[in-house]
Amino acid sequence: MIQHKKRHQGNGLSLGRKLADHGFAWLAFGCTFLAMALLLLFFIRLGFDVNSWFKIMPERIAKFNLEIERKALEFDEETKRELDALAREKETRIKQDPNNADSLAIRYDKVINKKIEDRAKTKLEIESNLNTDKRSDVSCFGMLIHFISAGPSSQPQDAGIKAALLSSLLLGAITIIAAIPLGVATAIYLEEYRAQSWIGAILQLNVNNLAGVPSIMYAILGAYVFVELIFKPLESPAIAARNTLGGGLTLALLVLPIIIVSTQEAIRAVPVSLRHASLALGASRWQTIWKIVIPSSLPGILTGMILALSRAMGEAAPLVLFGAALYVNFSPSLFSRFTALPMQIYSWSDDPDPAFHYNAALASAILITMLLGLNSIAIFFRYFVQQKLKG
Amino acid sequence: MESDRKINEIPPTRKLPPAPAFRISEWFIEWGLFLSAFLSIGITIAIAWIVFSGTYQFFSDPDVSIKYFFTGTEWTAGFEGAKYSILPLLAGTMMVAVIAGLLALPIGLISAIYLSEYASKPVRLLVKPTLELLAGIPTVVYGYFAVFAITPLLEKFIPGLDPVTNQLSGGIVVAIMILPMIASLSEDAMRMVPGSLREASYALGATKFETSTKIVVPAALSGILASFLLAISRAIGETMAVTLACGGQPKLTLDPREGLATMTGFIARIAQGDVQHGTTLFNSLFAVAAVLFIITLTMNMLAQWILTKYRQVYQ
Repeated sequence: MIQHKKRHQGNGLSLGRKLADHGFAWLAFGCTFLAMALLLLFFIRLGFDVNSWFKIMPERIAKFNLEIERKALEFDEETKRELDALAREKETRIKQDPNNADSLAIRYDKVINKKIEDRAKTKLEIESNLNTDKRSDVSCFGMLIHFISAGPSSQPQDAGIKAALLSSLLLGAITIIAAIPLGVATAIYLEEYRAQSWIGAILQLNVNNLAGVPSIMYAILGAYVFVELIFKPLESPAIAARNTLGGGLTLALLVLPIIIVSTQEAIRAVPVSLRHASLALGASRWQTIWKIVIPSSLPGILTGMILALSRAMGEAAPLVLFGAALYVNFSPSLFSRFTALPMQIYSWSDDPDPAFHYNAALASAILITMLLGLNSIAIFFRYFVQQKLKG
Repeated sequence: MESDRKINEIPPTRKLPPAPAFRISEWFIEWGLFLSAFLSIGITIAIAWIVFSGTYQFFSDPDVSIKYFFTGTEWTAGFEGAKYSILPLLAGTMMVAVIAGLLALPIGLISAIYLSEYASKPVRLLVKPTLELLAGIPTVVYGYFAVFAITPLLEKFIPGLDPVTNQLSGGIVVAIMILPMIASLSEDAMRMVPGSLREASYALGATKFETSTKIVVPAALSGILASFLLAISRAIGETMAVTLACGGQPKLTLDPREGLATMTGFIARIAQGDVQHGTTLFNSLFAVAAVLFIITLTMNMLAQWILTKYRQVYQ
């Protein structure tokens, strides 16, 4: 295609046409960069919210520390008060009934001793809780580390994303392991075996439609197949009905069209002459595919894989429907219940306590950093590595 | 000579000749590949089967009437004497889609024109990946953005805006979400228009504006329309951002300042609660999903049909 860099302007251009031409050029420029400006605005806003998190959370931590210290002090006072009350009661009862003074004294002493023991035990518990709950490290770095390594909590300043982050990584791994072989196989079948037949046309139409099916539909499918049909009958203490494996497989179905389409594009870009050369040398069809076509289209397949991974890790709708738990305070494994980073963001954003919203902002920032990193790699592959291979 | 002619006659097709000899391993591989390809059709069939059998159960409930479902005005699922009419939920979804479409379609198209006709190569190489990055932001984060950034901003300008959930903020974030899709797909379509058409137009004395709008856009119309349809279908199927931004109140109103539950939002909220399987409330989820499935599938099929039917093949 020829690039028209110079503006073509006739001599007899009327003012109206000239204005329309210039005006539209600026309008078009503005519209295009509006999207970029929105992106910038978005990041600035998120930055402000994350900044507020670093300001608000130390205050909440200090407040919470004071509160638990006060509770411990109050507990001591309460113990003292209760013991005094018991001692007074003992005296009055002995005065009222001097005949049974000895047995009453023994009974009361027993009660008092038990009380002292109980309170001492509770006190120990409270003190150990005090030591674990009380947080002294309020530096930015320390708080960030706590946020990443802590489990969920009803206290916004204590809540963290450890379980969510681990779940998300596990889900992403399951998704890719399940979806890549299926997606690549489908793309090969479509492009190498059924490129110009009616079966290929139907499969292609179906793949294109699947790409447009709302993600919530996959959730209904996953909830039915993986929960109702497969894992509910197998349910046991070791296997939860709504487990990470099922969630990952649901996401795999969701990203399958992405992998198929990008692999197809990559396979189409491999020159036919390479295949002919391989066949002419006596290679079979599969040998040609395995040794020639797949290696040549590897960057495209990788691009699809990364895009699929980033989609799977950012998607929350299927997991909401699948029944991902919101309060997971253990490290998730293949057959345990699970949560996910986007789910955590969703539940925090929906929380009435505004302090949780800042948690949502920080978790969003972490998720976006991860996903944009992945997407940048994919875009780099698509625009530079593939261009180079095409020659 | 004879064999030379035959080699030259091999059409430049990508359909390959069959392998020289039948090999059992090749046969197994082909069937293995076929099975995995068939899985994708299986997904479609399974989704349709689950959704429509659930819908059948929903309508076979004596409390539910099909007539009220399509013509009624109230959706009070989960309450005493529940009434099930899809219209309030449909209104919520459509309002988001219309707001998003009104904002994103013109801006996306103009961006596509700029990228295809006006932008220099470095600018295009910079803008297109950035637009794709915009598309890579998870939808739940867009929902956060709608609730905590767009709604407070809109509140300053629009009196009577619901400060917690409203359709307007939902529509705006969905517009931001579908904008890159429209711009990118339309730009691809416009780039397929051959340069000779533009040159002919310039030779007749047309300005760049006239060439873009009267030659390039009509020539790429099938691709542009398809991108619009796909984007609107995406807006209708969008879940998390809309659930956060628009809330869960099914109402039949045309006021975008209020928060209306959308179809996807209803499904997400029902699924979150512990609803007993097999109840009418749970089955209503399938009925809503069926409507959603039919709408999005129709739009996608229409887009595919436009693309194949009206595709202009240029040399």
